[in-house]
Amino acid sequence: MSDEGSGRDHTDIAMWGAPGSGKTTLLAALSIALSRRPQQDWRIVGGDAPSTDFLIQNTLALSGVGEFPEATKDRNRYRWTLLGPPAGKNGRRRGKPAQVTATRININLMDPPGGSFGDSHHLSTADKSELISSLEKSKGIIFLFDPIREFEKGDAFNYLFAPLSQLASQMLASSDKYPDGKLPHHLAICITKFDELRVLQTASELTLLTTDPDDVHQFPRVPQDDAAQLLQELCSISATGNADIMLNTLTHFFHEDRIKYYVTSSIGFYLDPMRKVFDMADPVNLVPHAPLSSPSAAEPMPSRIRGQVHPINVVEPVLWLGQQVLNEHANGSPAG
Amino acid sequence: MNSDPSAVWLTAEWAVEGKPPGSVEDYQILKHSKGPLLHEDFTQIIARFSTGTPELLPQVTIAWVGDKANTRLILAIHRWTGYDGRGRRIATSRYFSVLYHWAAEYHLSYEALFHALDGSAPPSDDLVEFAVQPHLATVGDTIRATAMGTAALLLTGRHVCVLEGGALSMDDRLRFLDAVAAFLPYGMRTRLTASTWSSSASTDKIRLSFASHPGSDKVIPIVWGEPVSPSYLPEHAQTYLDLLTHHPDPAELIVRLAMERDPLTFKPEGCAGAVEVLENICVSTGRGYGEYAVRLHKVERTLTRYADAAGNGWLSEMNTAVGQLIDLKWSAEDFFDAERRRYRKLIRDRRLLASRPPEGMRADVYAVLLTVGYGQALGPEDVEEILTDVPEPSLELIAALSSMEPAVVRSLPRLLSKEAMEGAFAFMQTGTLAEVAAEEGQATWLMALACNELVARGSGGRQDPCIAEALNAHDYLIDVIRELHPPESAHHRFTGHRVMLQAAYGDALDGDELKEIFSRVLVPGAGPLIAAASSLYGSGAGRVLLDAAFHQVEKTPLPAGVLDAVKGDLLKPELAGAPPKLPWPSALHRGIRRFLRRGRRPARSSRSGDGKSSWMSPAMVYTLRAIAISIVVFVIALGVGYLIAQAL
Repeated sequence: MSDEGSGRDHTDIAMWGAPGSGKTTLLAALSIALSRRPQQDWRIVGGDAPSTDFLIQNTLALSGVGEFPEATKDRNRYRWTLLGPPAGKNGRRRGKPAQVTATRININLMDPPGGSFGDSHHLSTADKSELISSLEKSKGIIFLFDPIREFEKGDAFNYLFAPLSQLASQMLASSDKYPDGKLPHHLAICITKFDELRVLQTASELTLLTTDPDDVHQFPRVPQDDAAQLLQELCSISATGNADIMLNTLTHFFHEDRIKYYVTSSIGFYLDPMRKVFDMADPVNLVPHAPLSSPSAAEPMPSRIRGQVHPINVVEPVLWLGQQVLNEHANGSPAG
Repeated sequence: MNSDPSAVWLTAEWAVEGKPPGSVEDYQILKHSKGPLLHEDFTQIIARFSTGTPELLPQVTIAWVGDKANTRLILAIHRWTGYDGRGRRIATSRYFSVLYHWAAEYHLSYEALFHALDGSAPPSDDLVEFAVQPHLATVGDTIRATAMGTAALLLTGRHVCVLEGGALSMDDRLRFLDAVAAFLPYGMRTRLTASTWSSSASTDKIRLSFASHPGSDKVIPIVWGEPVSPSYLPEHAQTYLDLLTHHPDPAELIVRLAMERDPLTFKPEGCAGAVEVLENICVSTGRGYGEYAVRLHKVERTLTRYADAAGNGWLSEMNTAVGQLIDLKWSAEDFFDAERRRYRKLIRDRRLLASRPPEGMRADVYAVLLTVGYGQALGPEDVEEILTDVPEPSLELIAALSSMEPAVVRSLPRLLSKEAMEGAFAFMQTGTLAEVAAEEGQATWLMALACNELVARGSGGRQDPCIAEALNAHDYLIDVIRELHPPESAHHRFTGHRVMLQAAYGDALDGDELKEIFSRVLVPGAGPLIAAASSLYGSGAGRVLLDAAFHQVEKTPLPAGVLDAVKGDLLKPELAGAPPKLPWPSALHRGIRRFLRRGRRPARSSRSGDGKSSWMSPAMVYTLRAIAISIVVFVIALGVGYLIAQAL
């Protein structure tokens, strides 16, 4: 649980998603996303040395060199604290100004390799058990749905079903703590890689794109209310046709009113440095980068981020989950 | 192909973990050899010994798999190869598995294995055949101390990570891992995991690694190039480090440790086994450095033998062990702290200070045990510890404790009854008794007990020369006797000294004995002692007293002429009057005058009044004369006192 003001306890937020769905990149973009918020109201600090190192290294790599984090090989744990505006009024008390206390959302986060959620990854039994345990202990889950992977491989359901079954078995089968038979977590479903041309075009064709009037760069967005519709549309073109099962499974196991959908991009769209306004004719920010020793045409090339990183909907799911847990804590109502 | 005739040819099973270029999947085993190790075996190895998400490559990880004859050493080489479907670099890891007994037979270092296997291209299915140089790690001076400290740290059973080693090359880091392993018995490689780099999240999987941060509180961090903090080293690890660092020939030690191939774990029993292995090496190697290990073994073996004998009541065995214990003549300064802690632990664990050896040797046994376990002097906390361990100490033990720390006696009243105290005093050495009595701030009744015990030891014709020595060392307990008897009981003081002197010297003193006593009497309050000593000598005591007084004067570096004059004054006090002229050089005279002028009294003019006379200063002459007369008068007064005492 989060503990407003004290920072003693931690809100456990778990990440869940297939390999390459962008879990680590989303984390790496979090600090940049907070810095780019016009309100400048939240900031993130590391809770231990490895977590601080991660923030420093990956923020610099993404924003400076234009490099993605390396593919995760082993489960990583991070401890961060989001510091935000005070939750209450800062009035005067007996003639003295009241002490201003920042809102703190402490995050314990486990970032496993995506394959851990499937059957093939070589996690030890203990590690797999720890992974399920981290989901069980968490109050909020960021579930990443990679539409590109789903279109190409259609295996999102494979990475959802096994751990979800184990989680449900541990939490629901042997306890009457959750009489409604649903998992108590808040679930932020993030449809990632909004910056990919195919995803952008799908949203455009569905006329789901809009812009934030306060956004000077006029980046396209999919309103939160329409995100579920985009997800359903993207699921319909799944390579295996199993994506709809995935959606149904999620709504069966979690409270629908505790699920929110976000269309996200960790790196955002390309922004011409001269014009500084989004150009629908030139939106792609991730391009192949040919090394000096030119490889053969068939050989994969490294990717490079073309321009600045402007994350879209990266902070929002984390803040929403943190806020939900804060609210629950303030109301004294346990999840479930 | 390696044509070096000194190389040995071995085979290794292998697996490659990575991603096909362009893949969007996670890392997986791409291919592996078709040997005894199966796909799931390699899967398990990779999962158990993962070093986390790579940052800088290449790196090397060392691990193990299997048990007993099937134990294998694993060497993993991680390198970047191509890009995945998301444009990210692919970290490909090649795992090689070599049977442990081959590696042990040829004393293969990790570095040698790395160089032999790094260039090898895994064939389609078969095992890799490779040539390797059978040589041990060579440990340079610059890393030796850190490597030894790290080896000792690993014997705590905790994981260790080396910080601030990022600037080193991978080869240097691997060389360091090899050096650490070289200072452990080779058999520990059956359970050693090490890596030239691991993410902080993985330091709990790898026993020894270079990293940016320790992943958890369980991991001991050390800083590259800095000495290992002793606070991390428990007793056995400190002993191990002592043995390593005191070895004069580390290269020879590495060879000997490499021959210790029996598998050892990093669990407590394995770590204790490693210490034993090193001790045995030191013992069997002999030479100068072996003295410590030999002593370690001998003392522990003797203590254990004694404990076994005492525990079973085997008198003969006990006698033998006690004899050996008493033969332990090593001076306590030679003991290392860790070594002494081991002995102390053994003494405490086996409750040796609570044992009751045969009476005749009890005091000696306790004295040896205390010296071996605690050193030459006990501290208050040591005494507390011992009396906690042995809540009902034997009188001999108390006596032994008091011998090492006279202040211990102060704490005895709260532990023992008065009767028991008397009993305890009976077992104290004579010198200790005098020390206890003379201890500043000592309780009066304890002073009395100590004095009574001294007198008792010398009474009934049992003249004890130790008493005389002890009394002399403590000014014949003048202050103690004065403390015990009020000023109005001068005759009790006299009697007290007299019986004490009788205990020490018998009923009559000879001239030398009297002179020895009188050498200590030029202090305040010595009257009763002078009287007591004179009464035990008889007539002529005055002359001895004067001799003693003159002996004191003689010790003063005065010119021979002055000494002769003073001697005359002391022995012929009736000659007091005008001092004779002395043929002193004027320079010396001036020196004395300057000395006198520096005194509190203003200098008088010389007898001639010209200030340039060669005569001695009258002030000095009269002062010396006054001292001599005072002593004679004092002796006469004492004689009168003595006659009165006799009459009483």
